[in-house]
Amino acid sequence: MSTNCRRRLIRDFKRLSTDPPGGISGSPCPDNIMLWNAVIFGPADTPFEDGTFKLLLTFDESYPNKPPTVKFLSRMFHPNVYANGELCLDILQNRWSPTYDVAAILTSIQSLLHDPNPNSPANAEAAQLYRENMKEYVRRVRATVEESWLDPEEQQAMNAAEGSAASG
Amino acid sequence: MNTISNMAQLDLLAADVPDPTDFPPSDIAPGLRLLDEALRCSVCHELYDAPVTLNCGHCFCSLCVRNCLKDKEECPSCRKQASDTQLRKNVALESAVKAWAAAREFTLRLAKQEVQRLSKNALEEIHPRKRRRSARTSGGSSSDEVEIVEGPSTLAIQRRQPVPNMKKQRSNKSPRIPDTPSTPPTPGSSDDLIDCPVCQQRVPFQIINQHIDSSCKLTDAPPPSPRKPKGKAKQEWSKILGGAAALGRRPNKERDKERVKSPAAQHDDEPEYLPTVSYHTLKDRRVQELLNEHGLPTTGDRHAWVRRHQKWVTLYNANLDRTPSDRHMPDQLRRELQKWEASEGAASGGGSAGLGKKKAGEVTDVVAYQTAHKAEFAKLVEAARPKRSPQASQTHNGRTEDAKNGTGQREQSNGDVSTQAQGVADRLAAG
Repeated sequence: MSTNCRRRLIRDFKRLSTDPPGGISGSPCPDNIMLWNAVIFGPADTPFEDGTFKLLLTFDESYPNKPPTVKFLSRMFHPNVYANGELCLDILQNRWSPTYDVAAILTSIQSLLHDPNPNSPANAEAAQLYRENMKEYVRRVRATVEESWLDPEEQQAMNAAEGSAASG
Repeated sequence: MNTISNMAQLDLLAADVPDPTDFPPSDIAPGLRLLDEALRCSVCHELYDAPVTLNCGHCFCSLCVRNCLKDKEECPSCRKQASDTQLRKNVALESAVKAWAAAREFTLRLAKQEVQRLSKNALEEIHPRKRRRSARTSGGSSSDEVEIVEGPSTLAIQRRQPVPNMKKQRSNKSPRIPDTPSTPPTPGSSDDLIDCPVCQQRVPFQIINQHIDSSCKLTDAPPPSPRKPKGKAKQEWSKILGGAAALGRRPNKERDKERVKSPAAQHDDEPEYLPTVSYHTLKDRRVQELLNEHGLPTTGDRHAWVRRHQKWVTLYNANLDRTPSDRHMPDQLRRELQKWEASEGAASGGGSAGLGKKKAGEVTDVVAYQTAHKAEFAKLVEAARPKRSPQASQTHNGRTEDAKNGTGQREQSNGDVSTQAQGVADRLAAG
């Protein structure tokens, strides 16, 4: 493993655990420093408030010259998050800069939650509701917030129930 | 952080990766974290190695920024348009980094002693009878805050020896830190030789500026009489300007001569930077020749040769941005290139190690993954829980007890959040 990338990730972790920005946390998997778990608290005074959204960050040797892949593990209803949890966020693609660290990435995603960009929608339905029917948008987001508090198995059971309800 | 740490992560934190967070926070050691951070490259977060400046003024390690500029021609910090032709060595910063690298460990030790002293003092306030005497080394001052155990003794030593101290301070004006404090250059006398900060040659103090301006070629000049600066000022200027016009070529523009093999061995002539090559205009044989010129292997296909040579140019040029005495020898550079190729190969080819190998498809079953890492996520949730007033969190759920675990720092963004919330509320009203 490249020592540069590894040393950089260790520093990212030191910084994130010593001086954490509010509402975010993250740490590498105990057995693999290239794989990080993270949690973003839904920002206060947004529909996402109090949600505990789990994320997975996957780094490779090219970090920090290339961004990590970031993916929500929790189900999201957000104009810029795909159904599979992947994000549409410029700084994780063409606007990446090697000066960003994990704290910066998580903070950006946190601000994306209270400031969606409906012009580059990854979830067309969420983008449409966000523009046209805020009430329904908030209702759908609140459902994901409540889901984020559940254990993964419960979430799965709930999704399955919803799926069968929708099909039936 | 105590909530997130488990055994493996404690290992990570204890690993020998120096970081600004090694220092106590600013309420105990004001500025130390910031100082350590200021002397680190914002790309690799190491202490600057061969710092270079872009037109916008941002500084990076030469190798870091050269790698970035290959991908994108903009400053990694401010995104202003940039290219490697803008790069200028930041010699002053390099010597500051060198000095800090030498002082860091000592400073860290002092800072930690200070933390211990403060906690000891705090203990003494609770149990005033305990070991009061031992903490007092000097004087009968009654205020504990003023008393510094380490400070006074070292200061006193310095004050008792004013002469060497003065000399040291003066010699610091030369950008290079003298290795041998026993022979400090005294600027007063013109005959004294000092080390050139660029080529390390011994040069008369009086002509050091001309020497550097002439790309370290001018080593000998009749030293003008030092005591009559006023009358000779005109002459001096015309000499400097004339000399600069004749000799002031920038080393990276001397492309006509092709002679640089071992950068560290050359004292009188600053080696040239390697130019970027437009490989697509070259035949295979010429690309191989380019590699041969620098003693590099020609294994693999044309694509591999080009990548190897590109990386070599980057490593080589970044090496030239180091102080000559710190430059790596060509053999060492070749090893660095080899190491890079090995790690590239592991990253792009299907390595055998299962973990951290490939990005996509790493975690396919999201539910299983979350279940397996349930305990970690529970800790992360508690670590991320924002601090807020008890009433606010009570309105939403019953988890008020943990609310205090959160950290501060939220204040600045609160403004944004509330304006955003206002926007949401407005839209809600409209919809």
